[in-house]
Amino acid sequence: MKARRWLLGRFGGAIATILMVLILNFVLFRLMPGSPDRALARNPRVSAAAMEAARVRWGLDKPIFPDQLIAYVGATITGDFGYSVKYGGREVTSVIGEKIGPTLLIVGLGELIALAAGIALGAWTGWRRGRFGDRVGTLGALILYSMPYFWTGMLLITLFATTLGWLPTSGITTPGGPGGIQGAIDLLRHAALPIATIALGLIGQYAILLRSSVAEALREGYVLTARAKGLRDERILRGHILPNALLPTVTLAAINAGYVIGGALTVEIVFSWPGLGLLTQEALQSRDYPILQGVFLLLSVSVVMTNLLADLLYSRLDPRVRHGAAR
Amino acid sequence: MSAAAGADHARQLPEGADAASPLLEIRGLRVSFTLSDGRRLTAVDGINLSVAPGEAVGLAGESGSGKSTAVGAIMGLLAPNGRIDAGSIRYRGLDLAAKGAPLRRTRWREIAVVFQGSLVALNPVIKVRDQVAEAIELRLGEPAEVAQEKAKLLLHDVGIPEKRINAYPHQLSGGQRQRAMLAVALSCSPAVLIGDEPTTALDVIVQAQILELLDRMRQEYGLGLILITHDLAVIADMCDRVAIMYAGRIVESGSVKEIFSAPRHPYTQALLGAAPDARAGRRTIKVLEGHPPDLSALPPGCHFAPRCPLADARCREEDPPTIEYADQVTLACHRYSLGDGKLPTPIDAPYPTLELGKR
Repeated sequence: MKARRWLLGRFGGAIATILMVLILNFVLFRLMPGSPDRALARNPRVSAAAMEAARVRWGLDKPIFPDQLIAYVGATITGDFGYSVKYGGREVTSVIGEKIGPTLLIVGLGELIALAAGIALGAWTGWRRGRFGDRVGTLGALILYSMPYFWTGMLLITLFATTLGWLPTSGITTPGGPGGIQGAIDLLRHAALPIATIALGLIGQYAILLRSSVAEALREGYVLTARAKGLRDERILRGHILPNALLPTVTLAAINAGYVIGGALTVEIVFSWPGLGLLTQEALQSRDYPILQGVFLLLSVSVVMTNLLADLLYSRLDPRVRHGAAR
Repeated sequence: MSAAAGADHARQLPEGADAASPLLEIRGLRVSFTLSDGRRLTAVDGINLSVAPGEAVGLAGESGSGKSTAVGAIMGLLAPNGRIDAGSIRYRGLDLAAKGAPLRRTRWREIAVVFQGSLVALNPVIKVRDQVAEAIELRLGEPAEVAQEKAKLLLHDVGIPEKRINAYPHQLSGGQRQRAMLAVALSCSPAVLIGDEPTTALDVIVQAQILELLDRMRQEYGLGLILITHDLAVIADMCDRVAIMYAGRIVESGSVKEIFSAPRHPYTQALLGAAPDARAGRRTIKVLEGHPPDLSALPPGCHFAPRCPLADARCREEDPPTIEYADQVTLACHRYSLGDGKLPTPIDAPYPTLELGKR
């Protein structure tokens, strides 16, 4: 009963947040200097009549509030995101749909690798807190954590692409490259460095967070009980410490999944990776409002959704949250 | 009647132990910790303690007197900066204090602990039933279904209601949690059970229920029970023998009857006199001034001397020897002499008193 009400509250909250985002998304771009018709006006040969016709066609002649807002919200809810200014009037959904795949590939694999490696490193250093291995591991994690994506990316390019020549420097495929399995290998070779960049950036975060939760859990009474029970170290770590210590990491991972899509922007620019990040940069430069609105909305919704996912996961993992008990 | 986890199984002793030796016998145990500034702190200083099957022994003293350190030493679970300097902890003849002692074999299967504060001693994200079943499965090697079934019976046995069998710790009341902790402790049917302040955080009614349950389990399983507490009333109700600890040493020990009716050591007298006795209608309490000493900077002589109304020059210079006046009756105080081998007459230490309920 309590659990159902909690669940409904979470879903309601997520939907309300998305609506707010929708309105903010609209207002934000209307506050920005410049407008699509002014971009059109830069061409001296456009006649006033043609400009007026364009303004009417795009609905720019109507007042921003409420007409344009209602038109935007209504269209967005029905799945109509408008047409891209830059991409020859293609539908925004189709442009984003084309770019989301490459982004999900590097972000998804990067997250997974970072999560696996970060959990392993964090658990190991936390268990050995204060010892030599912990100091080295934690220092490494801190260094990785503090390196911005674009710098890590450039270092990796310098080492693996330019110096060693093992991997391509940029792009997603070799132009005119083979198809089939050979093509998939070619894609992975291009994706390797972007994935590594994202993974390296996140490993440190996960490792440092988990290390501190494991070190904290080691002082808990239930760990003493587990030791007194005569359990093996490995069992104590896996069976007793990690189920407790992983909770903050799971939340961070879920929230990151939302943010990283936006955070991959610099990675995509460094590697000329044709994903949402690169698309955003191009759209910004050409004031492609519909694309920007579409991308921003997608990012906001994914952050809200992954937050919701984090809450649901947390309640699955921690019975105290599920039962609404005070902690 | 009790179908609990393998109470009927023939006890297989670990290698090196023999059934003819005493159940648990601690001799001259000394435990110290290295402080961050390099000094050593002796938390337990040469204590003797033993318990026989079915017997209940109380270990009493203020916080910081070394009671819980003694538990850590018995279980081999001292903090990383702690170590056993001297003495032996023999379980059926097998020395658990020795290097390479098979602690992983003896923990829980031979000696189990009910820790204080079951809210922290139980894992918050694991069902209590699974926490009981865990040791049955992993330590006794029972199949998972058998372990689950035994866990259910044990939880039932300690009085967890049927619908709470699959609960998480936070879904239980404080008393139920302590019952569940007891079920966890009994899961491998140990021969020795140590209760480390098992009722500290509970209100008096629940405390009485838990103690009654502990007592029933002791009788049912023939457990050797070591009850660690600062509450002498609990020891008076539960135990056959008692040892009084002060600053890492046992200052007096003997039968509960003897010690409570005729306390000899001035510290024991202060402890017994420090609480009003509702039943006896006593409204005067003894006041023990000062604080327990800093264990890292102990003065020579009797540790209690600075607070003792009877202390003289010798008390401040020489350690008092522990004298065994009769079987398992000991006293460490300069003011009593060995005499003719009989128990000496108590000397009443002149503590200041406080009258309660009158102004």
